[in-house]
Amino acid sequence: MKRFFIPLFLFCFNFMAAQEDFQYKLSTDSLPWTGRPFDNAPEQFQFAVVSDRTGGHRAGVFGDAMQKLNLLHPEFVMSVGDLVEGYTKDTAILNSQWSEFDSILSRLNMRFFALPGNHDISNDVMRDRWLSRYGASYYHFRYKDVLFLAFDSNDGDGVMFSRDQLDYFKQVIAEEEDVRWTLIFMHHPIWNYRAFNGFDEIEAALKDRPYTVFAGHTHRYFKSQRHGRNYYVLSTTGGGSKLRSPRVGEFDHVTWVTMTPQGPELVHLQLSGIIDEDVLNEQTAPIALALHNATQIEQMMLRKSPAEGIVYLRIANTLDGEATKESSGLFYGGEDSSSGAVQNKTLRFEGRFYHNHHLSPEQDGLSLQIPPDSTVQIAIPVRIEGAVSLQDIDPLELDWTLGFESDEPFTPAFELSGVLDIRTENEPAQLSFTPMDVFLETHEVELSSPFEKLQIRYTLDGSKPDADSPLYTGPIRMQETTTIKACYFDAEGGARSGVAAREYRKVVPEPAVKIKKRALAPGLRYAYYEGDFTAKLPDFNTLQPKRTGIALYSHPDSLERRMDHFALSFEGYIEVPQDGIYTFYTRSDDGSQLFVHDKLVVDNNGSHSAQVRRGNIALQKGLHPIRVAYFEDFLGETLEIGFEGAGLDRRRVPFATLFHEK
Amino acid sequence: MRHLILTILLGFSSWALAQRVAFEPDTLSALNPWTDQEFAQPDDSFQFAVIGDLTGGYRSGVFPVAVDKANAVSPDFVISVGDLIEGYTKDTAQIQRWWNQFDKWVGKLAMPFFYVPGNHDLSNALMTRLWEERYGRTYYHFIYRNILFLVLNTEDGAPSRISAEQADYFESVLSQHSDVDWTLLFFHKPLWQEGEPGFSRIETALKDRSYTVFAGHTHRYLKQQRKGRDYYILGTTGGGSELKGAEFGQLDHFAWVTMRKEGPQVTNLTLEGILHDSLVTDETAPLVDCVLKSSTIKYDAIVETQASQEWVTNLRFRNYCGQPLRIKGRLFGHSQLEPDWVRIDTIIEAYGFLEKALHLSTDQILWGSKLEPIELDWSVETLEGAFRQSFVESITIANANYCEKPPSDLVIDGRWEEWGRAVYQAPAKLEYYRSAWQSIEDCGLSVRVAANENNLFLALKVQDDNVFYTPYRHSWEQEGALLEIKLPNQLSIRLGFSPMDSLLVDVNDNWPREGELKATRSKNGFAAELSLPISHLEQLNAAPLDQFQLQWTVYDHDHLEDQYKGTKALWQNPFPGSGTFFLQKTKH
Repeated sequence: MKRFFIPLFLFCFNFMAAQEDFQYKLSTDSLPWTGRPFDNAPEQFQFAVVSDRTGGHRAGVFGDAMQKLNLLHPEFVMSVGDLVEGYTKDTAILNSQWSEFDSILSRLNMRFFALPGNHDISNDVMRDRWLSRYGASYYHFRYKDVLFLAFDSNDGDGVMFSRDQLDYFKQVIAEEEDVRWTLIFMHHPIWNYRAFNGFDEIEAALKDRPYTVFAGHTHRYFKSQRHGRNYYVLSTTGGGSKLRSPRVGEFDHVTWVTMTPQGPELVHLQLSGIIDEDVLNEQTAPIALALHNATQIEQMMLRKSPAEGIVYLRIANTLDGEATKESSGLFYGGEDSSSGAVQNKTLRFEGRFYHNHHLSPEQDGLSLQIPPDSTVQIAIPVRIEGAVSLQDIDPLELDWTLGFESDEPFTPAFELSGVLDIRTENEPAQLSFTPMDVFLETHEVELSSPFEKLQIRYTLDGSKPDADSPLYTGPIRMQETTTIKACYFDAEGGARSGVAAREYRKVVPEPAVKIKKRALAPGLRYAYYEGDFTAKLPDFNTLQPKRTGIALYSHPDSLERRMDHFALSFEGYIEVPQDGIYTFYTRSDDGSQLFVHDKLVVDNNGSHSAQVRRGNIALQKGLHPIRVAYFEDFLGETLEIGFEGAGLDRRRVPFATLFHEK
Repeated sequence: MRHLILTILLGFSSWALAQRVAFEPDTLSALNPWTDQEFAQPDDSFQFAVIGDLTGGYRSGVFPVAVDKANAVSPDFVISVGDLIEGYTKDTAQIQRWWNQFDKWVGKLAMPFFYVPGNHDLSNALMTRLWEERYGRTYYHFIYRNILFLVLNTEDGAPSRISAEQADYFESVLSQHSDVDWTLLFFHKPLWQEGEPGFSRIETALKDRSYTVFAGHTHRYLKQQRKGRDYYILGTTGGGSELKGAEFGQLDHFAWVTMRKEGPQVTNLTLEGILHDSLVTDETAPLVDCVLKSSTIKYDAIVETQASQEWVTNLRFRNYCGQPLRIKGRLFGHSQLEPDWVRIDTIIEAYGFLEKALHLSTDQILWGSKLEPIELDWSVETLEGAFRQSFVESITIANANYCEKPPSDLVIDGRWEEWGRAVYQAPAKLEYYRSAWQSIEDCGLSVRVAANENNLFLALKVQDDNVFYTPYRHSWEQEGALLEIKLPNQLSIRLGFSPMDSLLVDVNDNWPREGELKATRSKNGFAAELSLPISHLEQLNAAPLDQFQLQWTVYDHDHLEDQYKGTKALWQNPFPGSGTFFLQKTKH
């Protein structure tokens, strides 16, 4: 069934806007949208309310709110007063306060209704000023059949409303009896004061109609119910506040009111939650990436004597003025991304140590400025209290904050914080070795370290390196199986790290097995198991397979299986094209292990999302037995294997290119 | 042409009508308490919301809250960029359960919701078939208020692909709708980053039009510019994210789009920034108030009269709430002071009280009052963790001060001369204050404290490069100073000094009639001298007196604008024991 549907499209430019604005080609009975009507009833409108700006004025917040209101597009903006700081009779000061306010307000693209707070009408001079600017201090208007009453709660002589004002509003309420709702705005939450203000007369005049009340003044949000109506005290739009939390009612916001046919619906939009569309773009992404990188703080402790240590920290500011490949990879696709100049910024680091019973740093904290494209390495002496073994004590903890200054106020700052555990373990994990740990004839091993200013000394005879051991300056060459032991030393040679050791094995390639090719067929033999597999691979010897067969694909989806908690064992042969050392990998979710000649080559065990692990083995040209074990805990499953080496690029190995005995 | 004119006329007259009917002020005069800008009329604009990914981590509870909050801001409708369910399975029952759950959530939206498929929604042929059964098409278009909306399927037959048929479809849609005001595209994977051929065809077909693109998938907000148009990738609306913050593109949000003839204007509303109107009500306020009230630590003053190696105090926490509160704390490291414990993590029962002793030691004998305070990083929270406040409390060792002998030529005339050197001066000694202070010329305080058998004598001096004072403000709103003499029973004598009120206000009516006080004002500050009988202090204290605490605070204002330049004080933020004076030097 195919229908073509074009609704009448004549009146829709204006207040007749309704469902007719929606056109679509209907080709199916089911639809890719829900059946609710559009939330665009013609009598519905939206406006915003701003709250106190002054009384401890925090500069810039109100202006920020104006810009955010422009992006939100309310039809107009109401206020609850306290627009200027006031409390002066000095006309020069008043001029400057009002002209500052006007210049901020001029950024607002829609109409703004002013209402006086105690700061705006602090005295007679200010009252005259208000009247000469705005004509009236209290007034009313109708907008789309909703009555707006703007009160002046500073009006009376000793009380908050003058008799004139009360009479004015009572008359307005009597005259405007056909409105669909009444909204009341005033500065002081007068209902929280004692009853002699006369507001009870207004409430009585409104008793048979729906209304809602808005006030400010207290700088603390509060909603209450009175006479079955909602009475709101708004928080701040820049006015003095500790801003402890919205839960406490202390937050900068604008109130967003949707005047529906059923009455007002309102929600408060925290200014910090209104985020500019440009918050992360191609210019700022490298800054975000650099901050991500900087949080990889390299840290290590050297021991100088039983009672003295030195903590080394290295922090890098990788901003180098270019949008890098790396930031392309992390934040956006490489192809079309414009690389170009990125603003260089100095990275700020603040750190503070928590108390540790055994490790007392010489300084309580540190503060660093790290220029663009540079690293800072610092050394902090630490006293080690008591004759303790370093393995037995808690790590030293550093509470840190890293950040780049933001150029624009009120845009989110690039800042991250955390707690760094400074490890005191023996093996310095920061020292990295050439990962290829097997070789056939000769081998070169490189050591690298993020700590440029520290020395690395090593031995090849199994002994513990000391200050007289060879200094590492370049690749270490070997022809036989060798264990390298290496340590960090400081430049003076007095402080040293624990020992890092790696064994490099000279190996003979595993001989190929002799099987006739015609005895083989593509794919691996698999066995499928079910069980309560959660943390790691099961012991397959103790399990009965539910099913066996030939697998041509490695992905678990290619086999019939249940959703979660199953395991697979694959067996067969792999053919390699030449003699050499092969680096196998598995990428699996959850755990897997890969064996060649029953030797564990890749250990990717455990319950985890898709991750890659690698391992090396030397093989002769020809066929070799291979076994892959895999299990699925829950949520997400994948398995893939591959290799590189012996002069071959990395390649994925589909199971269809492997063999099993017929 | 005639049709166009008619439309314009109709449009204009109804616009005028709308203007008149919509806004009816009480009177219109030359001066009005509102600005002249037009109302932002909805007639030429509308607003809708775009949600980001839900899946790939699926933090439960986020999306229903987003639905609630979208209702609260009332867009015309809500559209998505895909990844609505977790997917990646061939279990039909499970897929249907997920869709039923999702439909139930969007069913709570007060406005239409437009489905857009992502890779989690169309992970395999089965899921694609179920989508088509439930939602008809995987790609489609519609027009709303003369804006063309294109919804693309980026998993069309294969991952990250737009099929040739789909590209044909959109080429044809675009050629049929050349008269729309703007074109908006919604789809899941940001295929422009991959140079996908189907998408390139659609981009080519769009090349002469105004358009804007919205995608998702990366869970990282990013605005890109391409071919002079805006291409947005949204963050999450419940999908997996570390939520490091908007500046990292990791935020739960929806995009708020105002569509006008000139094009869309986009801003983003974070879910946590949208606050329900029942945030603080009669029901919740008592808890807020009592948690705030419970958010202080009191500790016994440590006033040292000799150098030491050990100090002890008691930290006191009080729970003012009718429910248990959890107190967690951790001491920051201190270069010299060694505490006997590092962490505190305890629950105080309703209306309960907790006292925790803190022993501080050093490895050598020294004056603890010369050390920086040791600081406790601590928080108080309700047991369900819904409400938490955190603070840093400084625990400071106070030093004992002793009253000196009064100068032999002392005359209480409000002049400093006979006192000579300032014994206590701020900002001279760092340990006496913790706020920003420009220099002693900007504002400086000096005090000398003396006593004989019968009387206590104080000499006070304020240096200020700009004694700023306006008659148009209350004294408490401008420059002034406050002296407080606090007795062990917590009663105090408070004297206010102001350039306005003849320099003196007895703030709490505890100044004795027998007391003598004189103050003088000069162009760079003011000074005061006072004498009061110790017998009066003992009477106030209702006990013999051996010590009291002093605080001397100046509120410096140099200009009206810097009203909040702030407070400068000797013994500011009085910690327990600060500014303690003993009348006589005796052994303790």
